[in-house]
Amino acid sequence: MRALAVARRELRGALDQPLAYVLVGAFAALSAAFFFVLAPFFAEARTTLRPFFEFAPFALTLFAPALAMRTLAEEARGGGLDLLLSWPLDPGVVVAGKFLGAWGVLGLALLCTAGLPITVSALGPLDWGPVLAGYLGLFLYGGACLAIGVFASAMSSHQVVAFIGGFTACFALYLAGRAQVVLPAGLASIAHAIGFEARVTGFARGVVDTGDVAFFVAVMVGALGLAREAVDARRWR
Amino acid sequence: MAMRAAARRRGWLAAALWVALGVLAAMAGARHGVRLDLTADGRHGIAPETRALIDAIDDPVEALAFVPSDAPPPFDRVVRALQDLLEDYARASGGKLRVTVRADGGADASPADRHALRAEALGLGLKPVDLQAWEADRRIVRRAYLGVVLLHGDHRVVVPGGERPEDLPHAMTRGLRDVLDGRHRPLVGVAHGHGEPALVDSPVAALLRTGADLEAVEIGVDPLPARLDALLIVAPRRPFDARACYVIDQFVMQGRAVVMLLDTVERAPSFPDVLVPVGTGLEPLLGGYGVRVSPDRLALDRAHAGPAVVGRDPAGRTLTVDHPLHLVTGVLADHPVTRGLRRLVMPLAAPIDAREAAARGATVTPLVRGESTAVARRGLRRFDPRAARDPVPADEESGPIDLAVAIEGRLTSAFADRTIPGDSLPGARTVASVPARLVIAGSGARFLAAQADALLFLQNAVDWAVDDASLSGLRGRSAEDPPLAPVSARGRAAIKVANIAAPLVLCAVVGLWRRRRRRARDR
Repeated sequence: MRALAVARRELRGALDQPLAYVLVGAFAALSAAFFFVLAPFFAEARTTLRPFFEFAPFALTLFAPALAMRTLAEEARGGGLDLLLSWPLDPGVVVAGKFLGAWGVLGLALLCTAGLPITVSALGPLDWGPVLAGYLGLFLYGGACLAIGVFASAMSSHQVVAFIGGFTACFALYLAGRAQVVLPAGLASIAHAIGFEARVTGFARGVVDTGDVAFFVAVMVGALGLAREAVDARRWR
Repeated sequence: MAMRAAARRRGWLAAALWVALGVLAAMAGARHGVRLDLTADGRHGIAPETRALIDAIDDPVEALAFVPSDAPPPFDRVVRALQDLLEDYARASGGKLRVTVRADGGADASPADRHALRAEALGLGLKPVDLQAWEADRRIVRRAYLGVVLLHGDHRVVVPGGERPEDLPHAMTRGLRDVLDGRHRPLVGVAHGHGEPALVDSPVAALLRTGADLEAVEIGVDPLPARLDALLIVAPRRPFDARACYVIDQFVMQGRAVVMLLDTVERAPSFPDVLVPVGTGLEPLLGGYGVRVSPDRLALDRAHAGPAVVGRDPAGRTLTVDHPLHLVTGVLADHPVTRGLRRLVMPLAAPIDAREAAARGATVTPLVRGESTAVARRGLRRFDPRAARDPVPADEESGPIDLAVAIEGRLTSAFADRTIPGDSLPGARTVASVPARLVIAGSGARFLAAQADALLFLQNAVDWAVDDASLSGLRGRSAEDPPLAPVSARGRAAIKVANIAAPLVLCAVVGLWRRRRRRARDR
């Protein structure tokens, strides 16, 4: 409950800043531009959202760390985090609240792309199952990237450093699956197991695999756990 | 100081615990996972046809899955889909389908292990595939084994992995059925020697091989091999002579099937805007069966124009326009050949008239028919879309325009009342011994290149030709998504602008509204 109170405060705070609107608008507009202009949607002339679900994970790799960079880094820089930690709150509650607030903004960003399925369904019979599964996949994938971004934000009091750290980690995990072809067999199987891209493509096909859901949840748990420890360590500095 | 060190140690321990918790959660999810298929037609779940077969397993079936350990794209998707599929089937069978996975260990496998696996795979009849990968900054080709060998009693069936995960349910179900029934794998002859595309060596062959073995055959003086179940003729560019037509005719008279995808025109290589006629030489043969593939008319539809490549821009990207000669067809018959397909683009298609065959007693099913707005245009020799844009009533005929048909029946020989070119073949017949099957389409090479669904059409046609269409509905599950309704250029531009601008405007409006509200509250 306390985490939700922090999340509400975080979400409200984010929506009071122009950055959230810029990021959400840019993400939705870029997704639409990719879908209708760069991907040959009208040339292919098929009622599918698959090009969007192939592009969006890459966009989220950039967007989620940008959204997460201010969560803890800004608070730490402004002294707000120390104030927050002086309250009788577990650092995990602060981290979870910050994460949930940012996840809410990410959800709004995905909601802003709802024009795509609505448009496609107006042009032909759209199968809504893969669309819903695809959005669930993006929400979980975005959550995993966001959690990594929150961890990066907990590690630094500079937003730019937090963004670069979060983006690098997310991008590496995004590409890990592709890198398996250039890695030795031992590392290739690890790269395949931790690669984000292969996990999210199943959702776009309309298949929700609980293994993939558990993977993204596990990344969130692991990254947020590490972020909690990083915040907790501040108490002792 | 000591407290700080202890806290730091505790922090490291807690961090390690968090990571371990994450790894355990992921492992538990992967091990005890379930897959939910949210597609409307349940295309990623177990099909009813497959479930019926699995339920019919009496004695256990052994499935030996050969998979490369570090397969590069696109094979990595096939490997994962194959393992998921086998896992699903094994679970549904309640232990009657026993799956054993033979992973090759990748590039790090020892030579002895590699040799043992190769010997086992080859001994069971699984052919190798070449995987392209990177090693020490060089592109290398690694030979691997990807597929499943099904064993049931004395029966053995090999199911190649292929390159597309969506083909696996059909291939596996078919393999399961064949191993349970002890069926032999059909053999399809692919005609070559008349300028046809080299189909046997193409990616199309990999798809066709999921259901049948292929063998290139040159049609000349001698009869076609008796081991062939069907013959495939795709886009010949040089005419078959009368003797070759007689050889094909006698193949049909034995009750065998022929699938023909024929082009009557092609774009001149040096002048792509000029259409030049293609003589297949098959006209007298087909005419003998009561079928006419119009040599001088092309189907066009100004209201349902499909995409056609017209050139390249300076950056090398292909430029497409909606071209009336690449018509999007409307009506597809409910037939095994078209099962699961909704619409097809038929480029430079010749209308087919099979009314005479029907009058002679054959069962004729129009498979692909133009929309009501389609017309047959005579004497069009320019590909330029402007040449087809304006109606020329004197040269155009409306009415049902059939572009592909299926014919079944005890056909009479096309040479029944004609002189046989050369010697009569041994056991020559004038009436088919058993009902023969023909699939004829008035568009060939460009039809196959225009869309992935054309390959499904071809696969289904081959299945039907070898009397094996009971599972073609499974192929339809992998058909492309339905086509869009036609949208004008202005409509497309409006959709693009609206979708790109709307989120920006929405964010700006909401942001400004919240800002004003906040300021008002602060005041």
